[in-house]
Amino acid sequence: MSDTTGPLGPEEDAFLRSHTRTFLLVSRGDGSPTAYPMVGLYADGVLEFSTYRKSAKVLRMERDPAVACLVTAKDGDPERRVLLVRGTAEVRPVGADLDRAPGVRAAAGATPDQMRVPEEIAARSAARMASGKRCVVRVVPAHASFVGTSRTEA
Amino acid sequence: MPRADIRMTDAETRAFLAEKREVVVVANDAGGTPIGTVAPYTFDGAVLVVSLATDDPIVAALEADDRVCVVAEQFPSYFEVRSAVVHGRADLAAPDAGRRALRLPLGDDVVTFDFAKMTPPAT
Repeated sequence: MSDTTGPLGPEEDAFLRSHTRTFLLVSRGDGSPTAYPMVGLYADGVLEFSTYRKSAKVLRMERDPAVACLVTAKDGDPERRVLLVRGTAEVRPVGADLDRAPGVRAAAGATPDQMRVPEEIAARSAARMASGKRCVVRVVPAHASFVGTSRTEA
Repeated sequence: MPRADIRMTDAETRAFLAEKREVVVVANDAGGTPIGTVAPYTFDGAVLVVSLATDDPIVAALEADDRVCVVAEQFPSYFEVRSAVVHGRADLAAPDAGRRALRLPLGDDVVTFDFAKMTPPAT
């Protein structure tokens, strides 16, 4: 597997390989900000998410693909850093690469921080990916920085 | 089979916000693209009060565009996932000991979900 980090430095890359708790930050139709808690899987320098093709978030990202991802550790994890990744969202069908689709990988326990998806949910998700009801959103990073100066001690 | 309504009720939302300690805060940067941070907060049943560091970039963003989104969320396991996404206008207080308080009333523009209410897939 290639190890392309692009605009991401080694610390940012290492953080994304370790943590999947992600808030996808998107603009609504009136320009106001909103956020979607997601499981973000990182590979080859890109963050990927699985969601319903007709969901409001997908429609919003198709209208305005300039997004951000706020990545944090799980509750209870001593890691206190928070990474803000700014980039462009691309909506893609799953195609033939179903085994690599984010929802399927999460169900297989492929998340490094063990954000597990139950088997029955994963099976339903895989079926809906294969049928086109679900799609993959890829966020191509343009810039990343550690934020969270407002965070106080745990 | 119709999809289950997985939204939290108003009472459940208020109870959930009262038990959490940190939120994600989202605002627009100068170009209108969202940015975010994580900050501690309190909730008195009606108003969220988020404590931001004065040097957090989101403070300058909110001073320029007061539209804000605040997210409380948990993911201890899949069927325990819950979230409340509160939208509104940020009311920023004057600096005090290196912090700025952001007040956000819990209005009508709230999106919630509780995966415990999800209908399990047929086996």
